[in-house]
Amino acid sequence: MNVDEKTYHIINAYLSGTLQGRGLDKFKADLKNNTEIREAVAAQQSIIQAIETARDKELKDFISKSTSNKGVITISPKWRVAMASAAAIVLLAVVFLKLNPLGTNDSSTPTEIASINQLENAEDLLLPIDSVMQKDDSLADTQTLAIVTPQVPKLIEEPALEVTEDASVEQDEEIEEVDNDGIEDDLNAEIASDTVTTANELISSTSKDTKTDIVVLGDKLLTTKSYPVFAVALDLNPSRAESLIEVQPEATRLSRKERKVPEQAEDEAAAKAKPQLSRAIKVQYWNSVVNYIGYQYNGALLKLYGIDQNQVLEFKELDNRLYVRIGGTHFYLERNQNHKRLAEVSNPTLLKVLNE
Amino acid sequence: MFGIGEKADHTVLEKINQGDEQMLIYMYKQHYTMVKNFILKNSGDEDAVDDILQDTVIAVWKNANKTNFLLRSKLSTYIMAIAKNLWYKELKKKTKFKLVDETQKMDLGSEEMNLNMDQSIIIKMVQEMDETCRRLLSYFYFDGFSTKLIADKLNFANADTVKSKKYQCFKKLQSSVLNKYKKEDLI
Repeated sequence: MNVDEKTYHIINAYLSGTLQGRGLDKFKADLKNNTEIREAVAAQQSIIQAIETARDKELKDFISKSTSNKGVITISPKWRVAMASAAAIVLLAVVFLKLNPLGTNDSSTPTEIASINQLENAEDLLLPIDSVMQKDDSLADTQTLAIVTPQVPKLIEEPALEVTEDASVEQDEEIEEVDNDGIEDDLNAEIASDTVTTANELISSTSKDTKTDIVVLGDKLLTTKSYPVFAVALDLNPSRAESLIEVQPEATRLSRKERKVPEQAEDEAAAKAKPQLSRAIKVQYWNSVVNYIGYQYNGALLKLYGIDQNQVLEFKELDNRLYVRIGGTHFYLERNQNHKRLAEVSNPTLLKVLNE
Repeated sequence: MFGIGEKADHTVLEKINQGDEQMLIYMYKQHYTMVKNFILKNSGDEDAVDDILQDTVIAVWKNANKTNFLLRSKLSTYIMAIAKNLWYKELKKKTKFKLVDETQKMDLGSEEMNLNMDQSIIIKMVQEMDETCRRLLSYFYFDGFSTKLIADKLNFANADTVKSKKYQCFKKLQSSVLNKYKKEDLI
């Protein structure tokens, strides 16, 4: 079975399917008639098959060796995206929890606790020792009220975040405006402008100290002022008095006869209703971290959130109830330990009395 | 996949055409999870995954080196299609519902022809050939490399040198085989 080079190449072409045309026809005829060529084709095919098998085995061994390290983990692109997303969510959650801690309990880091303590000390300087407010109130800031933001129209202007000495000067001017009698000296004495500055310095120094740490945002005290409270004492007929106390529409349904008061009596009542300066109230202006608008009032100290400190406030007390006038609108202030929204006085009779 | 970035399909094919065997590993690793999920969902096991994927990437390797090869889809789709076909074939074998391909019967390289000879011995002979001859014959018959590429890879002067060298190597191997077997054994 001696095959020359030419025949070898022809057989190769035949087996690979590249032999075409006349060449193919001629070869097929030879294959039919010539036993030697048939043997040569068979032998060549067997050897080619063996070469292919050997090469196949060689490549498979190569792949097996290269991929035998089962430690190589293959991750599909989908999984890669999913893992990256999960990592991003976890990272965001960690950052969110660091910025908005759920409380000052166990989850707080020592750095956070230290900064909170310093802030507490700063507030001690702001509040008088006999303050009725609890210390913890400052910690329970308006962050928890972020969901509910009451709509109080046109009360807020951009509050100054930092209290400067100019602000203290403004406070003095403010007090002078609202003073009536000789009480203003006492009130001015109570204005803690210096204290505020000191407190802010403390806060800023605290923030400087903890600059490298995570800063926990909280409500910011802008300024403290004192205002006189005028007591409105009325000696009206029972029906009118009732209508003032009960903020109910029933009062307006009283018969005309009952409501009719002689002009003389009204004059006397008006004379008696002239507001009398009764006491002073300390007002703190706070900038809520969540832009909360409302108040917190314990009887001696009023904390206003989201109210412009340059607004002129007027306090009146009627039947042991405190009313404040902010920008021409009267609001009713209720004693409470929690944050409250400002409730606008809507009773026309009561408004008339408060406006007198 | 760790350690291996994704390559564009045309880059992979180019490298295959240059005879870069690392592309086999790349394709294997790149499509391992995909093929594994498919086979495990279709009554297969881990060993089957290895076998099928090896056969798949080798089939891609051989096809990509054919002169008329044209990739009409994404490479991953093509690989997956081959893997699926191979696995379905394997399942058919296992369930003994093997379809007999008539063309295979007609083929001169059918199993019947080699009943009288041990193919593994010829394979061993191929493996024991000198490196250049073995690689030359493998590149030509199995990989389907062009004579020009073979010349480049094996440092031959030109394609004609490859042709004549191929004949010499083949004749050498044939002589060894014929020394071992009668020519009737090969028919």
